[in-house]
Amino acid sequence: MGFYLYCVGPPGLSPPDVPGLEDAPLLLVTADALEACVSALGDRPAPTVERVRRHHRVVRAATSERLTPLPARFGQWFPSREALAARLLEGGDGYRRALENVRGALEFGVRLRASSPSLADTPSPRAAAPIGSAVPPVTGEGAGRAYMMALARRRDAERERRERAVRTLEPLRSRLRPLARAERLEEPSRRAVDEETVAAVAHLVPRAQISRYREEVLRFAAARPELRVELDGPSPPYSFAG
Amino acid sequence: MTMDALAPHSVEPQEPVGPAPQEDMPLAVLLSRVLDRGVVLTGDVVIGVAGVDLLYLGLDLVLASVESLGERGARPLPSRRPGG
Repeated sequence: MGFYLYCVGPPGLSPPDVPGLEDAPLLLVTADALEACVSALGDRPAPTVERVRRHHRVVRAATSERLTPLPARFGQWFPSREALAARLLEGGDGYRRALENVRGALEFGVRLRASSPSLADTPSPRAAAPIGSAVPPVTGEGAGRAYMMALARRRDAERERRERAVRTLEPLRSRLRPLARAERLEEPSRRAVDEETVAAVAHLVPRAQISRYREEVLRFAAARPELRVELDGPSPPYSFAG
Repeated sequence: MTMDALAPHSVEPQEPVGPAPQEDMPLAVLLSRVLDRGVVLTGDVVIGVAGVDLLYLGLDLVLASVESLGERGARPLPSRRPGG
């Protein structure tokens, strides 16, 4: 029986009273003054929405008002307790530095949605040049070239819209940076599942600044009603755990 | 004031008390965070979750194949292909 990892914390982390993957109870594996919250699991889990949700639920439950563990990326399975302990020992100093960085802080995310009118001046790239429909199903000479040109136009339109969205968010980011311990501008490439988000930024916000952080986002959204701004958080600091 | 009054109540390091996480983030954001972020202890995590790339390439189809569609929360995400 192996072990599936949810998060890594300092001494004092306790396994939350929620079920892990496959409803297994949560346990702690301790090594080098680090605590890993795990549950027994027979094999490496395939990613599904339900398992991702369950993983997140455990990490949330382990994140208390007094302790912020490092959320683990989904999918980390170890064949034995010893194998996990060895990895904790191997990277112990780095994990402790990361724990110190997130100590007393949580993650917030701000997203700018594509349907914001000021971003809609440029037609949606997908609507402007969707693969398979922007180029008529022609055959013969020049068809391949036309298809590649349509793809290039679509790529250019996406880049232009993203750059405009990042510029639009900049005034808000400049207000939020003093309230945050760290900032991470999202890269669009891995957010393919969320096409409507054209710019997103994550902040690591100390608990004491959470109210002011929210107020700044709300103030910005109120001042720019033409934009669709979304805020999520506080959540465990996934974006700042590595 | 006595010396006792100056003594710390605890020598244990404590984190500031504040709100615990209580959000419910959109599914797409949740997937992005949990699948792409977080601390990595094992070097083969990418291999271990190779299916993640399939999630991103065709999330709705892959999820439909591995989840019970009748299960709450297994709603397909917006298709990435026109008409798909």
